[in-house]
Amino acid sequence: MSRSLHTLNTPPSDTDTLSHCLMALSEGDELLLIEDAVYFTLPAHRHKLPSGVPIHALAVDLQARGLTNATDISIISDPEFVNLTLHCNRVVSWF
Amino acid sequence: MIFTLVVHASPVQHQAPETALRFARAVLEAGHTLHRVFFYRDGVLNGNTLVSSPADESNIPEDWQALAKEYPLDLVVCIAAAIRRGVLDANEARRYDKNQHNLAPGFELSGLGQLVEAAMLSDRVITFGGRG
Repeated sequence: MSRSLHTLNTPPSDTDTLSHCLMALSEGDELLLIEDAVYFTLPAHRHKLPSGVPIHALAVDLQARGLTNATDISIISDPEFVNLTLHCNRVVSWF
Repeated sequence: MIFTLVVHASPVQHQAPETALRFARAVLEAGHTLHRVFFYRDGVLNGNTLVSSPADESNIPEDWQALAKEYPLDLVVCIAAAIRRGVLDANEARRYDKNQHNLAPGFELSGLGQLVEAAMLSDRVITFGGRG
């Protein structure tokens, strides 16, 4: 199966980048929130992300922003980020 | 597996170069091959040796150089993007009649062909970007 990992690094206020990312997300793809995109894990923004795809967030970026209550999101380390890029067939970066 | 990273963002404007650095270290520590890091657009500023940080802040160009001392790294800065932003090596300084050059040791200026070659040889190409 052809599966893409999409990384998103823009904050929720950047609605354009999010909408481009969501348009490109297909069934079977995975989404990784990095840098300012980890703010999407806040309850006020969580509903803006699709429910049908696995969503991950980088632990160091969550920690740097004091976001410790992310639910139903897999929190991954840098080595797990590397493994995730290999688990998928390609990586698409949205920024 | 073979990785290539593409860095599109300035080290003082975006977090992306820092994320790329951490990812590069994780790739190398896992025993994978990092074929090349290609710096493009404002990412060429990662190769500016004159970037100076306060003592209690990290200096991203120096961090790339430190990683390149630990592992053999191919840090390639896009030549066309670099000369526009005032990142020159000794050759380009001569060519453009400047009396100074500032490409950091460990980096080299080259063309987009290096990105194409890296994309062909690598299992994964990961872009770390920022806009503006």
